[in-house]
This record gives sequence, C-alpha cells and structure tokens, in this order.
Amino acid sequence: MRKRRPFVAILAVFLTALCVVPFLYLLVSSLMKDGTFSAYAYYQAFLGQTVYLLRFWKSVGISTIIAVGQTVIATLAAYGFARFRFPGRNALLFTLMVLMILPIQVTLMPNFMVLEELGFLYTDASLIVPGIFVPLGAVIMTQSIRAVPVSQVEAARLDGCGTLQALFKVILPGARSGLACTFLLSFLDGWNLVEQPITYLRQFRDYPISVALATLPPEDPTVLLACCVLVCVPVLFLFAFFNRELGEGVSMGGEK
Amino acid sequence: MKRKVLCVFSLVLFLITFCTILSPWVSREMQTLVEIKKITGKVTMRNPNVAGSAIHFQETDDILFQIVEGEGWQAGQRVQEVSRWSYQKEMGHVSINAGTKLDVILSASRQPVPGDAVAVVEEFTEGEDTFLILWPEGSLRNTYPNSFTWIADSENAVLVSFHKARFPYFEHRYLSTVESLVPPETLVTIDTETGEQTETVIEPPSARIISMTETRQLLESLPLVAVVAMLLLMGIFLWAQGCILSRKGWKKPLRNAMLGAAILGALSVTVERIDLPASMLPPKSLLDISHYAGELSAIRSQLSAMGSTILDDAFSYAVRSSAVVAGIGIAAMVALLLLDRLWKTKD
Repeated sequence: MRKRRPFVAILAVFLTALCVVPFLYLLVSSLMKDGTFSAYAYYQAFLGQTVYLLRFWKSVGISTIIAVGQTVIATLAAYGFARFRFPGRNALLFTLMVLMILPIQVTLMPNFMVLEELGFLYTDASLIVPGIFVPLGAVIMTQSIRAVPVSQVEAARLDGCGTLQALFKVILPGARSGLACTFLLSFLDGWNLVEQPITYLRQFRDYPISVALATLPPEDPTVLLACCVLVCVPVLFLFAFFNRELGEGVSMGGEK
Repeated sequence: MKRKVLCVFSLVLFLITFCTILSPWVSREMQTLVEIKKITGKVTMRNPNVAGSAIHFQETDDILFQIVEGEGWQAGQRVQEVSRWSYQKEMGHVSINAGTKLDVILSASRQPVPGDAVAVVEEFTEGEDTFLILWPEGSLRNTYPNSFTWIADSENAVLVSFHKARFPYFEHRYLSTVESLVPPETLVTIDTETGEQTETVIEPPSARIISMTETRQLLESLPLVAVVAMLLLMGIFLWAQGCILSRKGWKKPLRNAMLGAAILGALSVTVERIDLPASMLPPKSLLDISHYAGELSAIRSQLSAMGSTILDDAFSYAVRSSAVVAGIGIAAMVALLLLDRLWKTKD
C-alpha cells in the first residue's frame, strides 16, 4: 500500500495555486469594473474597437507561418542529420545546439543587417523569416527521428519506398511527439516575439499584439486584462490539443 | 480529448471571428459625427471666431472641442478639449486667439467626449424633417422657433416640421433655439459652522429634439439587426448540434464548418447594409438594449398621446420583419435538427 505523503500533496497544491492564481486573477479582474460585474471590457476589446482583434489575427498569422515553416524546415534538416552520414554531420549538429542556446540579443544586430540587405526590414517578413530558420526545431526533430527504429525504415525501403516516402509514411507517424513539440514551441516563439518587433519594425501599427499590448493606455486596465485573456486562447488550444503528444515526448525522453 | 478540445475551441474561434467581422461596423457606428471649422492659424486683423453654439455644456462646465490626430492605440481623428487659453467667449460667438491652429467642432451628433473617435461630415443634405420636441415634466411647450411648423402637441411635447433640416441630424444645432419655460431654481445652502450662505443655480433639464427621420431609419434597420442576432444564434446552435446534441453532426465536421463559414459570410454582407442613425445611439455601448427600448418607448407614447400616426407604419414594419427573421432562423434550426435525425435513422 502506498504511503500517503500529506506534505507532498500540500506542496503540490501550493505550487499549482501559485501557477493558477494569476490566471484566475486575470479572468476575474477582466470582468470587474469599479467593483461590480461588467462585461464592458470585453465589449471594448472584442466589439468596440477593431484594433485589438486585428492585431490578434496578425499575431496568429505570423505565429502560424513561423510554426509551419519551422516544422517543415526542421523535419527535413533533422531527417538528414538522423538518417544520413555525411562529412561534418556531428560538427554541424553541435553548431546548431550552440546556436540554439545563444540569447536572442546576440543575434539581433546580425539579423538586422541581413534583413536590411534582403529588403525585409520594417515588414512582417523581418519577423517571419528569422523565426522559420531557428535551430531548436531541427535539434528536437533529430532526437525524435532517431527514436524511430531503423528496422521499420529498412523494411519500408525493401518494399520500394523512396527517401521522402519513407520520411512521410514511416518516420513522421512515429515521430508525432517531436512534430507536436516543434510546432508548439515554434508557435510560442512567434507568439511571444518582443525584441524582434521592436528592433525590426518601425511603426506602431505593424507591431504584433505581444508588443502592442504593453503600450495600452493605463486609463482602462480592464480592457488590457480582457486582451490578455484573448492572447491566452491560441496557446491554451495548442497545449490542450497536443497534450498527449507532449506527454509521450516527455515520457520518451525519460525512458532514454 | 482532442474532440472535446476541438469542440470547445471551435466555438471560441467562431465567436472571435464573429466579433472580428462585427467590430469594424460597431466602431464605425459609434464614431461621433462632427461638423468642423478649420482655423488655419494665420494672423489677421481680427481674431477668427466660431459660432457660440460650438460651446458644449457638460454638467457645470462649458467646453470648446477640437479634433486631433491620435497616435498608437488612439490612431485616427479624436476629440480633444481646446485649451482655455486659446479662446474667449464673447456675445454670441467664440473668439479664437490669433495664431492658434485647430479644427474646432461646431456641432456633433452627440455630446463629444475627449478621446472618442470622430468622423467629419463634409457635406450636409437639406430637406424636410419632423421633430418631436420633448420638454421636461411640468414645462410648457410653446417656445420653439417660428420656422418650425406645428403639427400636433401633448402635455409636454410638440410635433413640428422643419423644411430646412440638415442630414445627418445634429440635435445640438437646434437645442439652443428651443427654450424651457421652467425657470431655473436657486438653491440656498447655509454652512452651519460659518453661517456662510451659498446660492446655487440649478438649470432645468433641457429639452430634447428627436428627428422622426432618424427614428424611422432606426426602426427600418431593426430587422437587419435581428438578422445579425439570428446569425449568432444559428452559429451557436450549429456548434451545439455538432458537438453536444448529436454525434452525427460531429461526423460531418466539413458540413458544419461550411455552414459556419456561410453564417460568417452572411454576417459580413448584412452588417454592410446596416446604417444606424447616430443621434439615436447609446453614448457608450452599441449593445445597450435598454437605451433603444427607452427611446422608442418614449417616442411611441408621446406620439400616441398626440394622436399622431407618423411612425405607426415604421413601428409595425420593425415588429413584423423582426418576427419574420426570428421565424426563419428558428425554422432553419429545426430543419437542421430534423435532417440530422433523418441521417441517424437511415444509418
């Protein structure tokens, strides 16, 4: 019979509360105006003015393009790293890992110069293009593809599968958790962009909601809170939808 | 689990998209319509001036407003108070200091509030309009300009026609011409500690002038507003039918998605056709149903008291058409339920 540990339970409840209470405060405060229940903040954020929702959809668009692009690029790169031998493979993979841990502030200026040369500066492409070519997804997918048994791929090859067919029909179905992680993390990266919009964009009207919310006038804090609730929606959806894949990915990492 | 998540967030997505389509229309309707006079700032022999009616009274204060270009979240033309140092009130007009450059609001469709978005009306059309002038309780009702032609009256209201009315209608332009015969009250308060006597003059509530043309426009727009409400209900019903009431609906996600897209498409077409009169809108929230109910109820009761049938056809059109819209919406929902049962029986 398992020994009950009340202290652990209390600690777990306390830590959970520490995480959950800010969201509850956000929800409750957004529905209160001058001490009374009022949906006025939601009316202002969702109907009264178009700016909040337009910025929300712009952020959704940018983050989705970044997530899809990074997942595709990372999958193809990881396939090469995981299943093919070529000179400098390990050195390249190590370089990717080092680049992955570099803080964003280190790459801001070099990216600025490259984007200026490419003519993407002060446009949405200045957020999307650097967001797609990020090493994080390649590293995650490499580990995920390596976890797919080689025998399955060889069996598929024996049945006449080509290189890309083996990737899409055998490897990717087995690397679902890695795909989900890559998509989710790259979406979150795109959703939480702060330094890049401030550096690469010039006008306030081009800022995604992650940056623009910080400049909301303080006269109406309840509208700001309602917008924060709106900002949580896509992230909550992705975490809830990919819950199983994320769990599988964590447990697979634990088993290794 | 994935199905439950998709179910919940499909409703959230539908509602957010619904609001995205609706919000440009709401923000456009809630813009205050203004008539402005541009003061160029050129230094001339005489200071530029504007009509005294440009002064708006707010509780105990009288203020001159201008429009300015906002920044950031407040982008677009916005209302701002003109600094007191920039103008002087004189007999019948307001003198603007030499060298001051601003766009003064002469009149507005409703009381300007600093920070509100505005739309400048460049051209007005002229035509005949009928006004319902409502005085406060206890007022006599005969103090309106000679240019108004009497049609009917009741205890504290009168129905008049005016052949030189301007559209869009700005109540503020006519309020100064309509006086109340209820004299102002003088309230005398004595401070018990110092014995100091203070006199406060309480002005009676001013008359209201309601345009019957704008009221008719509101009533004729109500069926389209009912369509918007019905589209929202149908979208929620479709979601409930697909995710809660019936497993068959879930097996046809493509059908439900296409119907949802059709509802959103119908919404975007419908809101483009709705044009609510600015003078009849609530000051804060377009969805303040109690404001519309109060206004229409007051207008209808005054017209009935006068024995006037000027808006009877518009009222009955609004009621009948809204009922038809509601009936069609409910019939569509019932039809979907029955179709779903038919599929269930066939399988």
